[in-house]
Formats: sequence, structure tokens, C-alpha cells
Amino acid sequence: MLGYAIRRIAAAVPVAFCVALLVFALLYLAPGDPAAVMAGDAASPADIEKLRIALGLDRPFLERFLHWLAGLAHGDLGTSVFTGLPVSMLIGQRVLATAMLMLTAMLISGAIGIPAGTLAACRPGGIADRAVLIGGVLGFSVPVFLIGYLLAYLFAYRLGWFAVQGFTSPFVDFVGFLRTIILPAATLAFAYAALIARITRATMLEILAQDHIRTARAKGLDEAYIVIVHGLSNAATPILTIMGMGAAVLLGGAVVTETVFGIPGLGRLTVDAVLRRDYPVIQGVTLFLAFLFVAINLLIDLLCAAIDPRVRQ
Amino acid sequence: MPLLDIQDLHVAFGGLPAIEGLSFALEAGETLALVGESGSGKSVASLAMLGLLPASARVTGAVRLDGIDLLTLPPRERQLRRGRDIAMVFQEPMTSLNPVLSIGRQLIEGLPAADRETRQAARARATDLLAAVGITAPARRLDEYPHQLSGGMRQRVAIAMALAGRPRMIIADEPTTALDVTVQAQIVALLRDLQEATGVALLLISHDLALVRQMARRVVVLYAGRKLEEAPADRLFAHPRHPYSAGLIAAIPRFGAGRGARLAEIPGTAPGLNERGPGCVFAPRCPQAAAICASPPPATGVACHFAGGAA
Repeated sequence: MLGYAIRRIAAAVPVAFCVALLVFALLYLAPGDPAAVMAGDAASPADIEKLRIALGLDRPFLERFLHWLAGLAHGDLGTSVFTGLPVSMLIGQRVLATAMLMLTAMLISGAIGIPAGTLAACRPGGIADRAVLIGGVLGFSVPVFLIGYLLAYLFAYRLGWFAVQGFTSPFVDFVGFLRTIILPAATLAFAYAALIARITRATMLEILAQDHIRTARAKGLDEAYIVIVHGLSNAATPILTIMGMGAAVLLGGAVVTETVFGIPGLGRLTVDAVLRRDYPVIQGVTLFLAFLFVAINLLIDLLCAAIDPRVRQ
Repeated sequence: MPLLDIQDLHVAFGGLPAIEGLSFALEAGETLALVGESGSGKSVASLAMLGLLPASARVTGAVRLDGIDLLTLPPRERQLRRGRDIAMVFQEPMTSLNPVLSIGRQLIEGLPAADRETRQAARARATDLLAAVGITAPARRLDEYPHQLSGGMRQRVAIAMALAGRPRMIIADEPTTALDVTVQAQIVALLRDLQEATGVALLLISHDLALVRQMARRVVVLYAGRKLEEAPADRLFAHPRHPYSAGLIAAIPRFGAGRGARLAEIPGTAPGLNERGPGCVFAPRCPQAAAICASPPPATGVACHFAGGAA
């Protein structure tokens, strides 16, 4: 297990490097001149040129990339053009809200999606199966902002159970945290739960038809025990893997959700930075989210290895 | 009273009969072989006995164990009897074990409550079971997983799992088919030794007549879902009375038959589920078939108009 973990972590390093290169190249190739944006509307072409040299924007691509990479190694993601604050600090201020939003959404989705998909697979064509099918299509096709506004209107505005806007840290006020996080997390969880339910259903259908399940039944074991212990233990690897890949859906949805619910998270930071053409911030947040995605998938791979002995080999 | 008494068992899928009127009995400690080619209904019969057929299967008749008809028991009670009264060893050891649970866990979950009062007792019993099926270093194997074992070892584990519930009867569905020839012989010897040691009755399901001849005291010949003949093994192999049995025995490859000698075969193929009429099911392939074969064969004894009725 330890050997596998080391190999897997080592394999994540080149991935992270490629991600960094891609993020840098993407903004390098993007249209628009950061120097012109920074200098403002009143600046003359000469001023802009001076600023460009000062920022090192006149240097060749490779030199700029290596310079940026060297900064990264020290945890320096650059400085925000708009606020003048270090990008790493901006991210640090907002990472908690986004992390909590994603974590809560993952918990809600797993708690709904896995049992729903399992129930559906136990009786194909039954009521649970049809509910999952319909719920899956709905969860996937209704846009996040629509779900968000509907939930906010109903549960926050009409019923007053939850806060309409904002975010409270769980370390400051846990009840307040729940009041602010549940609606956005539920909004975000819709599509993700649908994804998990569908993949759980498909995987469990396949596994419950396998020979070893018949063996388990021949032993006289309880059907619920067979489904949960023998079925889900085998289904865990494919389900977790899809959950990892689906984390991208969650990251994308977080941007919209944070905007709808006024949560000061990384999604909002990104949107604001894009609107202001704050290049260093865009670059920093994109890189951070990409690394987060790689880290989530690394974690899930290790989890799979802990569950399935064949992966460890 | 026999240990297992099957009376007039019928199994149908979507109106099509897979097994029609199968009856036979198994005495305590006995080995009975259920013989037939693929599609003859051997495996369906065994799954029907355990109650493991899909809900779409229609099962009628009686499967009595100690006089209690398993088919009329409530599902929960039936489930509790599986593995305790009748255990099963399946054909494919590569897929019949759960790949993500340790051998020990899969053995221990099948133990009766009395055998696993403490963790240590359960592990000790599981170790004994592995030792009983001839697995070396059994205590260490408990923490291994199926993919770390060879096919023969896995089949030994599957047999140990069948023994875990202390059953009175084991159904072995083609237990050696998926194994190498040398390993087959070991598994056969193991099954025989275990039966001698524990007195468990064995229902051997096979199309391998050489294996059946080594193991079984009595043989039931199944063809297209119907029983054609039932006889003591030595009688059947010396004097088969149904033309199908005779054909099967003639088709056993013989050592020393001489180079270039043709293997005997039964021409044609077995009828599908929707091609079975009221007459003799074997008639289309039978060398002795006559006009009378279109009418139902004798219901008792050998199912052939020419076999002289009573067995």
C-alpha cells in the first residue's frame, strides 16, 4: 500500500507540471494586453510600453514561464493588478468557503446518490429505479442558477429556514455555518448526486449479476448484507473514480453557486478577476483549482487502493 | 426417509419449460451424480433446490429436505437454510469468490453463529477449514485475497466455504471443469476424502462421465430438462438402458483406442426450450427411434419405449 501511494504521488508531479504549463500558456495566448488594462484608459502608448517592460511582458515565453514557475516554487502566485494584494493571500482568504461548499455538496450527493443508485439497481424497473432515472435527467439538465434561485426563494425567502446570502465559518458559528451552507451545497449537489446515482446504479447492476454474489447468496447471507458488503465493496472503485472526475462539475458549479448565494469563495474571486482582467489572479486561481482537482483525484486513487486489493498490486 | 427428496420438479422461464417432472432422492452421506450436456437443466435444477433462481422462474413440485418442502418455506427461512443444510460449490473458481474481501472474511461470514462467538474462535475455525481442504499455511491465507491464489487453490477455498456452514449436503456444480487436469484429480480426491471424513452427502453435477464414474454411487441422466434414466453407477456404465445414456458412454474417449480411431458421437444437437414436444425428447437424435417415440415415454423407470419400462 505504501509503495503504491509513493508511486501514485510521484506520478502526480509531472501532471501538476503540465497543468502549470497549460494554465500559463492559456493566458499567454489569450487576447488582450494586461499592461494596457493596468495602465488604464488615459495612458499613452509610451506609458503602456514602459509598463510592459517593467512587468517583464516583453520577455520571451520560456523566460516568463520559468520566472513564474520559480515564483510558484516559493508560493508566490504574483500580485493582483486590481487590489495590489498578493494572489496567494486572496486565495487564502477565500479557500475556506469554497472548500466547505464543495465538501458539503460532496457529502450530500454521496448520501443521496449512493443509496438511491443502489436501491434502483436492486429492483431494475421498480419505483426507485424510475425515480432515479427521472431525478438523474432533471438533476443534470436543470441549470445550477435556476435550482439555486428556486431553493433560495422557497427555503430562505419564503420559509426563512436558511440564510439567503453570505457565508459563516464553521469555526466561528457552526449553526450559522449550516444556515448559510446547506442551500448552496444542495444546489451544487443536484447534478453531482444525479451523476453518482446513475453510476452507482449501472455499477451495482453489473456487480449484483456476478458469480461471487451468487456464491454469497448460496451461503445463506442476508440480502441487505450481500448488497452492502459484497456489492458496494466492489462498486466503490468505479463510483469513487467517477466522483473524482465529476469534481470538475462541482468546481464549475461552485463558480455559479457562489455568485447566486453571494459566497466570498474562489468562484466569486475568479468571476471578479475575469471581469477586471486581473491576469495574475485568474492565473493563480485557475492553477490552484487545477491542483485541487489533481489532489482530489490522487486522494480518491489512494482510497480505491485501500478498498480494492487488486489496485494495490 | 431420504435426506433430499425431489418430486416432480418443474422449472419454466417465460412459459418455456427448462425442467419437466424431475424426481430423484439422495440418501444421507451418499454421492449422486446428475449428468447431462450443456443446457440439459443440471444447473437450473441445483439453483432451484437452493432457491437462487431469478424471480422470473416458475418453480413447481417439491424439494423436501428431511421431509420439509423447501419450495413452500417463507423466503427468510429458506435463506437461513442455505449454506447450513445445503451448500454449493460453483464451477468457476476465478469468479465465484469476491475479489475485494479477504479469504478469511468470506469464510467467517458463512460460519454458523455458534462457530463465531469470538473473533479468535471464528479465525480458528476458518483456519481449520482451510487446513481441511489442504491449503498450506492456512492461518496466513486468511488475510490474503482471491487474486493471490491459483485456480485450484481458489476451488479449495470455495469448498472450504461450502463446509463452513456444516451442511448435510453439498451440491458441486461442475467443480473441476475450469481446472487443469492435474488439479482436477486433486480436487476429486479432496471431495472424496472430505465426504468420508464428514459424512456429507454430495450431489455432483457434471458432464464429465469419467469423473462421475470415479465419484458417484448412483447416476441420474438428464436430457433437455427430463430425466431419462437413473441407475447405480456400475450398472449404468456396464449396461446403459436408455439409448442416450448408451451414446454418452460410447462417447467417452478411451485410452489405447489406437491412433486415428474416431471418437464416437451422438449426431445432432439437443432441442431448445421451445422445441420440446410431449414425445421422447431424444427421439430426433436416437438411432432406435420409431413411430411410437412421438408418444410420451414411460413415466417411471427408464424413459424409453424400448427399455422395457421399470428400471
